[in-house]
Amino acid sequence: MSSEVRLTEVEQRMLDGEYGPAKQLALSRIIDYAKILGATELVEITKGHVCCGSPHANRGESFDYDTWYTKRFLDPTGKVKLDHFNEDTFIIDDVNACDAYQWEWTNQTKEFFDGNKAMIQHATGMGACNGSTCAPYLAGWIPLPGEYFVTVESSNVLFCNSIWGARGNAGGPATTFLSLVCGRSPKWGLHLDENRKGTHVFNIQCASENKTDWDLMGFAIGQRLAPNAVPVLRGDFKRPNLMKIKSFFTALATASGAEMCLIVGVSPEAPTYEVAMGGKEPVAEYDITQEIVDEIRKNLCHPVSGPVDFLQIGCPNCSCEELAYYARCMKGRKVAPGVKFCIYTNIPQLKMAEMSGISQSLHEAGVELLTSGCILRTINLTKGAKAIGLSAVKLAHYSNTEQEIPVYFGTDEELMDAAVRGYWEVK
Amino acid sequence: MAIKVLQARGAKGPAVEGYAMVCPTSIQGWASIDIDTGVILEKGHVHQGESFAGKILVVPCSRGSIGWSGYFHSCFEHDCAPIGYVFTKMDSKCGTTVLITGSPCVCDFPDDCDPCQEIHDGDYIRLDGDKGTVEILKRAK
Repeated sequence: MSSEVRLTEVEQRMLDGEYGPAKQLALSRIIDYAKILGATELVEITKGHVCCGSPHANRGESFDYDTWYTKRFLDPTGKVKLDHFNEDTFIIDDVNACDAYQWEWTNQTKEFFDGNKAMIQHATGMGACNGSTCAPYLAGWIPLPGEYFVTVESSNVLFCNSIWGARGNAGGPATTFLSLVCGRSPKWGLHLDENRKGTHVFNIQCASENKTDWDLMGFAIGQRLAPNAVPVLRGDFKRPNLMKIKSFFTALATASGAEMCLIVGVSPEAPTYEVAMGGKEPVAEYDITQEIVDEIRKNLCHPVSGPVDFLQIGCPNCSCEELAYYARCMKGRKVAPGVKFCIYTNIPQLKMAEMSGISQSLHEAGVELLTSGCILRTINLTKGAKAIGLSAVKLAHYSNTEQEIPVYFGTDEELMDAAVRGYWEVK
Repeated sequence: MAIKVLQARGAKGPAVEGYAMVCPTSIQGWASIDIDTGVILEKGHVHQGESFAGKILVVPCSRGSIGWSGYFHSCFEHDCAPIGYVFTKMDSKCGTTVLITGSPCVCDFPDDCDPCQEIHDGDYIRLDGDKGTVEILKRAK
């Protein structure tokens, strides 16, 4: 028992073992985590978003859920058995290293597909829901203002803090898992009012018309952030929609450790600049100019035009609204022979697209609809490709490290043109 | 006798001594670390191609993916992780890393003390996670 972390009566009973050894051990680990952070009490977690499938790093090991999660994060001895997540927490799974429906198009084996599915089924048997998405808010997983959540997706922690007004910290796979066993997390960081005010101000002077503008803007801001900073966006930017804002947060989370971003006039905790700052002066102030974002765009894209044979849209996973737009763009067009073009969505959005005829339109154009991942998560996806085309800053940035072949970056529209031509024209 | 002593918050003990690897821009949380060797793969990183195995890592905070701690956890499982951590400011990804690896850590330095400036690459240091101190014992040549 900890003397520094104050427990409620229920938490004390949990720590005493009244609710079973799994919750007991998980809570003791969460208390250790609280001490490391410097927290003195805990909060109840009612929304959780966690990996359940075979990890990205699976290199031929077993497809046993307990080996990968329970033993690694809770009890290395294997003595403590986990048979259920916390009953009061709505849990949905994050993306996996394998599509939810197929393995051939993505260059995977039936064995891997089956093994991954078995692990997810193990988790659903313990109370998780199978959404397999990096954008759980597109699957009905929405923490309300003031609600405490945990997630293993860096853009989602930004989205939930900044747009929903919910409260959560990034943590990591281990501490998220532990929170979902005992339903608790240290009360710390963005759980506290005083840490939810702006620290660094960004005057937006670059274009903010389309999704790519917001994507690049997010990366530019992230590159300038200090530890634990809460950026505030102000200026004459065009009001973003859901598609633009989720791309923005994804890029921001790629370039920084930001977990909350206040967009004046958009974020519920930033109706005005003054409210966003909480009466404090900014630690630093920056102008984000067109020159800055143009330079990022240039650095993300392979400099020489050339053939491209693998293209992906869908970071974060696409909404049905986006799929409908891509279907309209691809109407009457066809992906070039020998070119693979895929769009990632999640299971609920895919179902809606199928029921609406959108999936069929995309298939007719030669576009493959995939779920549960992206080029970074679905292993072997680009096997055999000679050049890759992407329209998400996060994917292009990380692929430039992971891939040895040319990586092109541009707008969704430029990507679709390249898919039809089989050639990326660098502008 | 220490050349200099930095006082901050001890997040986890005990004490450990070793050579510092200072990364003023941290390390990105995805596709940046070889989990079999601890070698930093991030293109353009000041320590690209070098391993942090057996060293004390000095960074301002985490950067990028929530998977940040997962890379250090895997390195720990493969015996190629840092032996201690110095964080200018603690964040929840750093905290998860310390918890899951059980490594000593000092963090949350006062605003007038930047460990990424005070500690130089290759300095031999003593990190005391119980007292919250970092002693610079020998400067790198």
